[in-house]
Amino acid sequence: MDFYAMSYCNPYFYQDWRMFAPGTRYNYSIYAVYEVNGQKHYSFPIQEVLSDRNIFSGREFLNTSLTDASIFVHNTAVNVSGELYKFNKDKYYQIFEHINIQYLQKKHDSKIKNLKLMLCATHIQTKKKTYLVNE
Amino acid sequence: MNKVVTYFFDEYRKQRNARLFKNLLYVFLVVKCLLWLFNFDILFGEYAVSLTYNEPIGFFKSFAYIIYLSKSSNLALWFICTTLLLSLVSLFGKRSYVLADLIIYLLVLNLDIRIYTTTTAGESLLVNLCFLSAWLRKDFNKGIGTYDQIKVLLHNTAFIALILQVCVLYGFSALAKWYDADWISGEAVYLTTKAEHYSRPFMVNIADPIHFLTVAVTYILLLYQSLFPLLVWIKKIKPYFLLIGVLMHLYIAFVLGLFFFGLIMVITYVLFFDFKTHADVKA
Repeated sequence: MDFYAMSYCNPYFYQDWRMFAPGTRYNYSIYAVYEVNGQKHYSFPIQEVLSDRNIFSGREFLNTSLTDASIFVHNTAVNVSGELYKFNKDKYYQIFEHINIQYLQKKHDSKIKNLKLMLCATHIQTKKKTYLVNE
Repeated sequence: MNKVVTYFFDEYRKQRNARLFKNLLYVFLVVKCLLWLFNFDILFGEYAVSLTYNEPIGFFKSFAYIIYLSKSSNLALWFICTTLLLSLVSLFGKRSYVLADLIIYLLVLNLDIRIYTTTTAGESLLVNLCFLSAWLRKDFNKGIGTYDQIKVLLHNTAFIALILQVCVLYGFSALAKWYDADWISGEAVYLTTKAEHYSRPFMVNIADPIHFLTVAVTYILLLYQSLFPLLVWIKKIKPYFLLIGVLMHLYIAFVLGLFFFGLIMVITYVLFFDFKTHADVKA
């Protein structure tokens, strides 16, 4: 089924991005640590975007980008031990990282440095948490 | 055979549906262009969230990747402004302009591909609808020349293609759901309601007390989508059937947050509506 669905979508979405919003069993949180002008900052991009989200503020666009990218990197993550996973450094991770960088740079209207990302996926029914980190 | 030829060549079919559908599509495009402009920096500008690659695309596909490959925000601005202008001219114009509609199709296709991480099914559907509706007419002056016959043929064929597009969409969507464990177990709507990014805080909070209702809605939606291509033709139930669909898609637009998908689906329902003819009114 997936083959036929993707064949139908492929002409438009060269990057293999899903045409239909992927189904979900998780709530996602991104924890970002980074530096702006030499000062350390913390941010929670998804939760920040979800507050006061509406189509006119552009937050629906950001919400779709951040959560869809989270779903992709979660699905391709590599298990380290127990609930700890490592990001697979593939195309989806590059997209995920890029969205976060752009969001944070817009937030501070400045370049950011030394970004570290952690993704927490909470299963909606069991409440079990899975953590995805870089190293 | 004669009936088929007559259907396609005799007259412009479903004129009120076609005119209203095209006008609503232009309104939708105007709204979309304005939202693109309001959020230009995160979509096409300095803080564009969709990462681009320099992979070889191929000659034919490259026509859909003009902005994507150029990475130029000025070009994106030109594309948006042209789409806005053409949509406004077409909306208020009494005639149909096939060339303008085809240009809109190409521009929208390019713009949506550049912002692929922000898009949903609504954008893919919109692109298809732009292409198919380009062949629909808003003016219905029927001459006797070959060119007039071709216009009638294209209009009637495009109208059927649009109907099929919506049915295919529901068909694919329903088929995928029948293979999905969450839909079969009745949990899909509950999970979506509890997912913060597809819901609203008040819906997340009430999802548990109304769990039984979410299970019922899951199966109703599954049946609705599966049976849509059949039941939408039964005249007695059609108005109620379409009303359920409109409410469902407004919920998707304003609660789930899939704004463009929800609204574009509501617009497609215009294609199925039975407008009263003069004969009906007299009767």
